[in-house]
This record gives sequence, structure tokens and C-alpha cells, in this order.
Amino acid sequence: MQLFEIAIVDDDQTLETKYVIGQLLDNSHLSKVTKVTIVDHAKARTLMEKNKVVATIVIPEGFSRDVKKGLNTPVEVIGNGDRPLQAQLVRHLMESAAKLTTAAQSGINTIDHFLAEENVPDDVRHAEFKKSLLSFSLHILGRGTIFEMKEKKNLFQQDILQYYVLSFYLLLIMIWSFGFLVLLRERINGPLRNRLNSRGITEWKEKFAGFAAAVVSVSLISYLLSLPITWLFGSSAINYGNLLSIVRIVLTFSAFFMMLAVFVSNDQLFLLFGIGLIMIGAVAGGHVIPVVYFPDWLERIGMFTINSWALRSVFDPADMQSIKMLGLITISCLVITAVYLKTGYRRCKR
Amino acid sequence: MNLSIAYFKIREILLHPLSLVLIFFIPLGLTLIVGHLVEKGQKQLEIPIAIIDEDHSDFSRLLVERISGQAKIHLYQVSGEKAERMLLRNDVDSVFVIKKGFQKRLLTGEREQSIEVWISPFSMAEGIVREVIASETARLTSDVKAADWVVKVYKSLDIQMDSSKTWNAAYDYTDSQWEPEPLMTIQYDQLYLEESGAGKSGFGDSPYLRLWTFFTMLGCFLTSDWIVREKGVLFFRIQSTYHGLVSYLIQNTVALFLFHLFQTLLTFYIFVKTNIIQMRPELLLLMFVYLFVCLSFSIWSASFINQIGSYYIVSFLFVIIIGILGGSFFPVQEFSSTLLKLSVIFPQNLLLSSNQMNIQTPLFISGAIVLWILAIRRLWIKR
Amino acid sequence: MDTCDSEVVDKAMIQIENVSKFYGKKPSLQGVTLKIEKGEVFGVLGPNGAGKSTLLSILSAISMPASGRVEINGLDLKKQAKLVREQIGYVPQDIALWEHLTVKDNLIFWSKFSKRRVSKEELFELCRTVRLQGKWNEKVSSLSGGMKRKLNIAAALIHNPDILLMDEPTVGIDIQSKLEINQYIRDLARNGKTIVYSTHDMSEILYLCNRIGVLKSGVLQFSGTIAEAREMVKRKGFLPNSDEELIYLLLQDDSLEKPLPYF
Ligand SMILES: Nc1ncnc2c1ncn2[C@@H]1O[C@H](COP(=O)(O)OP(=O)(O)OP(=O)(O)O)[C@@H](O)[C@H]1O
Ligand SMILES: [Mg+2]
Repeated sequence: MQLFEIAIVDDDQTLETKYVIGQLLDNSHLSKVTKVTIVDHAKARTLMEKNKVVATIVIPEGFSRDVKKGLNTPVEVIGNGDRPLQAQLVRHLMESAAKLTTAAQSGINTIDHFLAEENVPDDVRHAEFKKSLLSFSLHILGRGTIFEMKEKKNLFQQDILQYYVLSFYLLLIMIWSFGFLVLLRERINGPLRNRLNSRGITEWKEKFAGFAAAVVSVSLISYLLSLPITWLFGSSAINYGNLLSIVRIVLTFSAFFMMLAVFVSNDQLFLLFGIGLIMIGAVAGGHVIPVVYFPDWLERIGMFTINSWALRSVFDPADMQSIKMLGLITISCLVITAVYLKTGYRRCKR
Repeated sequence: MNLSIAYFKIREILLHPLSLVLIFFIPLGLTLIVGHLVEKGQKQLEIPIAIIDEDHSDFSRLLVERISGQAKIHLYQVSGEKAERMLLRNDVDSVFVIKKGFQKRLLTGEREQSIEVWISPFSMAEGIVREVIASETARLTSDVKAADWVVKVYKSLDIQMDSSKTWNAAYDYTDSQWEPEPLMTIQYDQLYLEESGAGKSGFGDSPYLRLWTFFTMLGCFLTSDWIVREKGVLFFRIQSTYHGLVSYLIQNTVALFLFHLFQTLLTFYIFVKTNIIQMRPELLLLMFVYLFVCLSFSIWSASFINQIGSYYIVSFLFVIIIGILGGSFFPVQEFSSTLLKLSVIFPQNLLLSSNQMNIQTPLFISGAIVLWILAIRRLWIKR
Repeated sequence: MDTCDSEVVDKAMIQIENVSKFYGKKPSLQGVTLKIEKGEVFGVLGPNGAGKSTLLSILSAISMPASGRVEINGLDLKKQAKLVREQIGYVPQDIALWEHLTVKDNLIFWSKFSKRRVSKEELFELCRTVRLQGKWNEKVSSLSGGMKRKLNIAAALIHNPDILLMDEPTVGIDIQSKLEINQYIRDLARNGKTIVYSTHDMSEILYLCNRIGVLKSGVLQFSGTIAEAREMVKRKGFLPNSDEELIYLLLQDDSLEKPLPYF
């Protein structure tokens, strides 16, 4: 991700808000990708207009006074609509920042409150206030120390870049399987089909020959494409186990689309269905965002796509469940196609 | 000009259910359906994490409870072994282990390394989750710290007290400031700036308009297939007629354009009614421009390709790739500055960026007209 | 109109002067010069690939000649193509119809391409002349090959053109209908229409054509009446027993020293 900038407008200009800002600046997660600049309203506006900043944070006047009184004061975070993803990230981090500020400020307020209750002299109170402000700010800054990080790895796990490369690769295989059948449909027109029929090549045979041709060619193309990917990401990206599972996937996709081709005779409709199914597969199958991040209902839809099983089997070629599932889909598509062609043959011939 | 060819074509489309499906259902229907799914999914997108409570104390229970209350996080409370398996199977983004002695350490102010985080190379959102957990833990530690502080200051000032009672009072007082609302909250707004500076407007980061750009382009390509189909003998024969091929091409395209225009109007109306976009005439105008660009482009592509199957495949791939790079699916420009610079050449940018009414618009319009003329010339000269 | 006609009485309806056409470097027409009079049915003969369709597509203003001049009814084909197009009806060799539309819609659609407005009744009448009235509301894709041919012809007659350019229009049409169509065409010619007719069918040539032209490899070898053709063949030293044999001899490959016997 590119470095992005955040503008802060401080209308309050007090010691406390300086700490809040300082705390933002020091967020280890944020500071890797962001740059924070403190500006006035006009400047913030022009920065937003020029699409230079992802978000503007406006700390309202009287912010620290209200917070000290225990009053809730919302801080305005204005995300840049042109960069919604980054703006959302800033929003999440600001939500956490608001909690951290609340944590610090509530502590500071408590100390001040308890000293005031006992009628402690003002100078002592003030000294304690300054001390606590510093101490709690440091406390918040040190929040990362509560964590102890451990990295866990297994054999088949890739990093996120590899995930997307492989996932896109899989999507291409799907599109090829479909595209091959589209091209095949066009090559065999009415008269040619009749002629083939006259030579004893029934539609049944023709469709399955097309299926076989699709499997062989798409597998071959996929294999060729796997070479540069393997070269780029090392042998772990696509190994022999994966290649076998890729052939399985090609089989499944081709069988599925052949079934569609047999059922839908109109070219445009076939295309429409194919595109629709590819898109559903791409989204619900987890090519865009991995399925685990989906809400339950979407994850359940994802279960019904070939893509989700195919992705699973690419990332873990030994996963028996996905192998079984793909096999089951392939076989049922082939059987349904065969049955349909056998029974519908007379009708096709007219 | 005699418009009866256009009229006939319009009648033909109206009587032909499939063409209506292609023109209306693809852009409008699919946008609404897919957009709804994506929006719903996007809103409910949750980060799956596993949490292991080894401490079983009040503090750890409180922490787990508060984290599970977070909207964006899906929490699995599991045992250690299972958590590791889930992490390695990518079923969770990361695993958080509340170590034994968590509460004791927090109470004594030694919070360091009290929570263990397991991540895998796959973890994407662990940074955000860590902030969430850190802020919830900070609530606990601040409460403790403030209570300790009060007791300590009272002691140093020789104020009489029951120290455990005071401690508890200070602790409760601190924590009470989270209710009913925390001291600081944020109010989030998304701003869409125009050069006019009119302020808030635009389409939200709802996926609808994005998807519409994709489906409309797809619809334009699919409805331009008649050029590929009729390119052979029909165009040949049409050339021998009085009105001729150019008139046929123009009138047919005008008829198609009218339908798509109607589709766009309908989309605009529905989008405005459902508050997806705001009522801005210039946005509607830009949608028309976008449509015109798409249609010219599809006609131009169709003038090149002679096989209908190849045409479908090429246009499908083309629309997908342009869709991805142009930001029809998600704001790719945010991922790289190269794509941001490139985005000006994609027609989607007309609608998806906020600097809309600028030099690009006339450029796109004239580019579309040029493509149009090139297409007609190609189809005409071929004879 | 009448005075005009008498003025240009020796001015031919179609005048082709030294027309050539190339596909790439290969010539498909070479220096063709030809005159076709009003009210005439002119038969264009020649073996496959001789350039018949090329000639007809030039006359119908679809493709332009590389060199030479074509005048149709006094209009220059290059400069006044649009006016020429309104006067011609072209029947292409391939079937050019919208398969997904009905017979009726095809006729209506083609009628939109001419200047003249044509009523639905006229179209139905036309449909009757090619004996397709029973298929009026059926999709073209469901017609038989011969029926499509008939409709292909009908589409060229819609705007009642003065000149008909027909490229093998009756291939695959049943004998009965073919005869009817031929009769219809002859009636059209008698009523003053000019018809250029390309065909491989002997009986059609003999029945329809006042004059014939023989193209071989893009060169016009002969043009004139059947009687003139007989003269020419005689001069070459052949004596055909019948008209069929005459045409057979006309189309005979010149490179052969001795023509193959006819029957
Ligand atoms: N589009 C084209 N591109 C290249 N060459 C062509 C094209 N159309 C025709 N030709 C060539 O021009 C020559 C004349 O073709 P044309 O179609 O006029 O023959 P024809 O006399 O109509 O034959 P047929 O009796 O088979 O219809 C042929 O040699 C053919 O190969
Ligand atoms: Mg021909």
C-alpha cells in the first residue's frame, strides 16, 4: 500500500490535545503507512480537494475541557470519499485511538476528582495533574508491550501476495474453461453438426469430445502459466501436488460449463449465465476476499461454489474433502449432461 | 434523415425479450442484486480471531466479553491446540492467548507480554485487532493505575482513608467514565469534494455505482454483437440500398443508445430513490457520457472481430480487465500510485472520481466519437 | 418522362465502359464494356469464379470498380451512388436476411431502406407472388432453403426498382416456383424493367434472356443475342444442334483444342 497522509485540524490547541495527536503519530501500525500533518481548516480543505490526504481529523474547540468534565465530545473524522478503503482504515484506528484517549483521560480525571474531594491545595492538584497527564500518555504509548508476538507456519501456507496470485490464476483457469467452450460452440454450426451427425458423430459424442479437448488444452495452458508463477515465487507456489489438483480443477470447471452449454442453447444466454456464474464464483468463492472473513450467510453461499473448493485444493492439495467434493461435482455434471443428451437427443434432431 | 430504421429496431428490441434482458437486466438488475450482496457482505465483513483464556480471571473474562462485543470481530473461544490448527488452516486471522496470571500482572502494573499473539503469513488484519485488544486492555490498566495513584497520593499527603475502600472507589470512578458513553468518541463522515465545493454529495462507498459501470459496459458489448453477426452478407446487401450501411449503422446504434439511455435514467432514478446517490444532474450527465463511451468502444471492437464466439470472449475478458483496473469492483487506485495515475485513461473514472467535470469529459466524448467514425469506416471500407 | 426517353433513346439503361476490378493483385474483372437496354433481361454467364458476382456487386454500387465508368440510367455510379441505389434491386448470391425475424418483419425492415414508403398490403402481395403468403408470420430461421431463396428475391422487389440485379436467385427453388418466378421476371421486363440475371441454369437462360454475356476469368468474351451467339460459334467452326448445346459450346473452356462432346 502506498504511504498516505492524514490532516489534523486542532481547534482546541491545549496540552491534552497535543498528547492525543502525539499518540496518533506514534501508533506503530499507522506510522508505517501514514504521514500526519497538522494544518488549519482552509489547508485541510485544499488537501482534501486535491486528493492529497485520506482523512481529516478535526478536534473541536473545548475538547479537552469537556473531556475533563467527563462530557463526551465527538472528534470529527472526515474520510476522503475517493479513497474509501484507506479512509475506513483511518476510521478504525481512530476508533481505537478514541478508546485509548478515554482510558488515559478517565484515569487523569479520577486523580483530579479525588484530590478535589479532599480539598487538596490547588498547586498540589495542578502538579499532580501534569504528572498524571504525562504518565498516562506514556502508559498509552506503551500499550504495544502487552503483546508477545509468535509466528506460526505450515508447509502449504503462502503469504497474502501468493494467495492473490494463485487465486487469480485459478480464476483464469475458470475463464479459459468457459471461453474454450464458447469458441467451440461457434465452430460447430448447424450444417456442420448435421454432417457430423451423418458420419455417426452424435451430439453426445461431439460434446464429450469437446469436453476432452477443453480439458487437455486448458490444462496445458494452465501448466504453461504455472511455470512463470513458480519461477517468481519459488517452488512452493505451484508444485507437483498442485499441478495434479489443477488438472482436477480444470476437469471440474470444464464439466460444469459443458453441462451449462448443453442446457442453454441460446448463445447470448449461455454467455450471460457463464459470466454471472464466474462472477458469483469469484466473489463468493473467495477470490477477492478470503472466505473466512465473510459473514456466515455469505460463507455458506461460498460453500456452493466450485471456486471455494478449488481454492482449498490449490492451497492444500492433500485436503481430502476438497478432492472428494471436486470429484463429486465433476461426475455429477458429466452424468447429468449424458443423461440429458441421451434423452433429449430426439428433440435436438427435430 | 429518415428514422424508420431506428424505429423498427426499437420495436424489434421491445418485442424481443432476450434483448430487453440484456439491456435492462444486466446493468440494472445485476447491479442491484450483486450490489446488495456485496454491500451486505461488506458491512458484515468480520475478522475471525481465536482467543484462548488461560487465566480464567475476572479481568480476562471481562476482556473476552468486551472484544466479542465488537462488531467487526468474530471471536472463537477455543483451546490452544484447536486454535493453532485453525490458524494454520487460515480459518482465523490470528490467535490471542491471555496468559496465566494476566489479572495478577495487571494489578501489579506489570502488563508487559501478558498476551501472546500468534500470527501466520496469512494474517491480514492482526494490526487492527491488536489495537482493539490493546485499547480494551488499556481500559483495565488505566483503571488500576488511577486507583493506585489516588491511594499513593493520599498516603503521601497523609489523608486518612481505608486504602482498599478508596482504591475500589477510585477504580469504579475511573471505569464509570466509560458509561454511558466513553469520554472521547469519533464521528465519522465521508466527504466527496467537487470543484464547486458544494460539499457532501456523491455515492457513498456503496458498491452500486461501481458495479453499474461494469455491468453497463458488459451490456453494451453484448448488445453490439449484431455488428459481428450481420457483418457478412447482410451489410453487403444493405450497401446496395438507398439509405445504405452508414445510415443503418447510425440508426441501429441510436436505437440501442436510446434503450441504454433509458436504462441509465431508470438506474439513476432508483439510485436516487434508494439514497445510493444524490440527485445531481451532472452525475446523470456523466452517466450518459460513460454510456456513450462504452457503446462506441464496443462498436469499435465489434468492427474488428469476425467470429461471434471470439467477440464474446474478447469482450468479456476486456470488460473484466478494464473493470478491475478502472475500479469497477474496488478502489484499486488506493493500492498503487501507478494505478492512480493510470486511472485517468479509464472511463470509469468519469463516475468514480470526484474531479469529474474536468478536461477528461470532453476528451472522452471526442475519443468516443473518433472510435465511432473509425468503426463505421472500417465496416464501410471493407467491401 | 416520355420526351426524355425519346431523347435518349439510344442511351442504354446500363452502360459499362472498360471496367476492371482487382482483389489484391488478382484481377476479377478486366476491361469489361457492355450496354444493357431498358426492358431487357440480360443473362450473365460464366464458369465459377469468372467474375459474375463481382460485376453485379459493382452494378449495385456495393463495390467500386478500380477503373472504368459505369452509368446507370444516365447517372454516374461513382458520383451519384445514392440515386442509383434507389433505382436498383439487388438479389445477392448468398441469402441476406435477418434469421431471427419473421418473413413479415424482414420485408418491413428491408422496405425501410428505400426512399419509397411501402404499405403492408403491398408487401403481403409481394409475398404472394413468391408463394410465401403461408409463412408470413414465421421466423426465417424456420424456413426451408428454397423458401429463404424466395424471400431473398422478394426483398429486392420491395421498392419496385427499375433495374433488377439478380445473382443466381433461383438456386434451390422448386421447378414449379422457379417457373413462376421466371414468368414474373419476364413480365417485369415487359413492363419496362431492366434485369441483369446471373445463372448457371440452361432453361432459365433460354426462357428469360434477350441477350447474354459470357464472362471468363474476368474478361467479357461475348455479348449479344442467342442468334448472334450462334453466328459466332458457327464462325469458330461448330454447328450446335440445339440451343442447349450452343450455350454449352459458348461456355466451353477455350484452352481445350477440341470441345468435349455435348451429350
Ligand atoms: N472477397 C474476395 N476476396 C478475394 N477474392 C475474391 C473475393 N470475392 C471474389 N474473389 C475472387 O474474384 C473472382 C471472381 O469471383 P466471383 O464471386 O465474381 O465469381 P462468380 O462468377 O460469381 O462465381 P460463381 O459462379 O461461383 O458464383 C474469383 O476468382 C474469386 O476468387
Ligand atoms: Mg457468384
